[in-house]
Amino acid sequence: MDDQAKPVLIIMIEDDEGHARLIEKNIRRAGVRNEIRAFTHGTPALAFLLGPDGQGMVNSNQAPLILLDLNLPDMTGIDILQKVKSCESLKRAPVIVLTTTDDQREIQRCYDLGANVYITKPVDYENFSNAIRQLGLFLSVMQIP
Amino acid sequence: MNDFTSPEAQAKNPENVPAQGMPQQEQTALPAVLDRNSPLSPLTLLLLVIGSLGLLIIVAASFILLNATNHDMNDLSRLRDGAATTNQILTLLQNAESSQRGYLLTQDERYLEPFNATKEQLPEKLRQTHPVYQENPRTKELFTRLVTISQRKMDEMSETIALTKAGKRQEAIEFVKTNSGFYQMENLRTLVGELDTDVNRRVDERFRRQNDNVFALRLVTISSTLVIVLVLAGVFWLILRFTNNIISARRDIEILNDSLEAKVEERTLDLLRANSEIQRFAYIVSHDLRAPLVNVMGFTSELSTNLTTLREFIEKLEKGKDDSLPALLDEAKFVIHEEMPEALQFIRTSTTKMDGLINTILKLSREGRRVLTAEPVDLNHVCEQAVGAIRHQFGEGGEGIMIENRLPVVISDRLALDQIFGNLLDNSIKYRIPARPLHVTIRGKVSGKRVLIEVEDNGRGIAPQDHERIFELFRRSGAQDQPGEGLGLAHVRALLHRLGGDIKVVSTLGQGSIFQITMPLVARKFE
Repeated sequence: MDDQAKPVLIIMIEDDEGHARLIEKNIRRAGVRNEIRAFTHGTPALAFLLGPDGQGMVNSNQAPLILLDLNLPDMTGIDILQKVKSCESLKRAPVIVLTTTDDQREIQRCYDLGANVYITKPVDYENFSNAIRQLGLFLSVMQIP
Repeated sequence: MNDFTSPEAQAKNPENVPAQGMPQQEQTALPAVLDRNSPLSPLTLLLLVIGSLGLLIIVAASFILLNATNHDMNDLSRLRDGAATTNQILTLLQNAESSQRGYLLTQDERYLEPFNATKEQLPEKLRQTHPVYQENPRTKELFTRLVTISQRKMDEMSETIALTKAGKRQEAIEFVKTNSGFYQMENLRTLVGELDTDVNRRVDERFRRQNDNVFALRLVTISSTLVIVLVLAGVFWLILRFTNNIISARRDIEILNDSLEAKVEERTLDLLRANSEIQRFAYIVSHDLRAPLVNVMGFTSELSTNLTTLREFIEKLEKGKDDSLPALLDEAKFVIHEEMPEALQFIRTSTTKMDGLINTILKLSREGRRVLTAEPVDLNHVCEQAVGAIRHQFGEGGEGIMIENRLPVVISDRLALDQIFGNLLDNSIKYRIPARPLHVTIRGKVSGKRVLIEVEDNGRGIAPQDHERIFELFRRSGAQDQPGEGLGLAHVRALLHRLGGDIKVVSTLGQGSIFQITMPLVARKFE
């Protein structure tokens, strides 16, 4: 299908504007040109991801990559992760969890819920960019036959 | 013998025993109950001594009285024997007289046999009876007279018989006719009668004495038995009391133990809660402080990247003409006008935010250190005041806060309660749904030793996953359309914990929330 050729959309859910700006700058610096859609709150991000029907069909033909901050003002990143991973059309989307704490239990919980990469802020931006690039490229390879 | 030891023991008892007991009571810090009723208390010792004395008295009295009885019995048989022998003496002498008279009449030798028998037996019989009558001078004299007269009678009879044998029978009859033998016999009869009476008197006396002994023995036995029974009852009562005291002391200790365990458990729970609160606080603070720090670090590194770009441009500029210069100039312009101010702005915002956070933490810490004072606080009054402070924010359409019933008076910290209800009512105004008139209801009741208060509103409500989260520091729920730091409910919960209470929320998103407060009617001692 033609729709499959759509490039990967990066969805960034991050309440701190500074963090969002830094992440974006570094993604760009790594040479990733994909569209980035930023959300500062969990509620609108989930509304976008799941669509009006709550099934995520809106994005079924566009593979997203999710950058997720765990501490959001209106809900926790864990809630979002759970919802994304329990949605049939979204559960294969790679999720990079970004957080300021390195609590082992929290890390474990994120991996248990299906997070692909867990990155602790303040980030080593070079490694962070590599992770983004690899996941991005991987997605591109997957999506562009 | 026993009568001598007992007064000694009794004299020792009141002096020594309390003297030993007194310092013991001072030395030991043990419960007084145990010490006072220890089995060797003065009272117990006294009872034991009295009991032993009673037994000893019974034994001694029995021994002495039985001895006396035995002695009396021996006396009695001796007296009886004596009396019988005395009568035998009279009989012997009468036999001898008959024998003498017979011989004088018949001159037949055969009649002399009883006389000869008497002559032979009399001294022995007199010797046998002799000791019986030695006890008092009267019987002694009577007996001496008996011996003398019986001897004289025997002499008289022997003489008449001898005269008859010598053929002077008429002379012998003449001698009898003098009546001396007759009078002697009369005297003898009187003497024996008197001795008999005396013996009987003594026998009676012995019997009377024995009766007295038996009566005394019975009296001693009964009274001593009574004493022993009383002592035993006393000892039994003491043992019972002692045992009861031990049991009640043990029960007291058990109760103390139980309440101690409950106290330890309560304190442990408090500590665990405080500990997890501190952990949660440290987690939140470290996260919230680190978030702006990440910005400072990130944008600092952006600035140094920018610096590199500018340095490169200036180096190229100094070297002279270069084809890449115009492109580098554009880049440098972009860096100076866009990137560097942006980075500086973010760094400034982040440091301001950090400063604010640190101030908030300091404020919380100061609040936590404030000394709480327990005093009677009328919750009705507290709520009315809190309502008064926000009355001006009520809109049209019958908006308002209603106190449904009379709220109880508690013993607690007034300022803390003011802040708790102030914060809750503030929230109900902040998170109302503007489209519908706000209604807040406050109700309360006393349940045992605790007070339950509900603050119900018809505001926007809280999603289920945030019911716990809203009480955490810097955490807020739902749309962030109101100013705030995420402090209010965290502060409310911390205050309630200090007052010995707690708060939770029951809420349906979009319909409203009920904040449920529990706290003690009388706050326990603030630490």
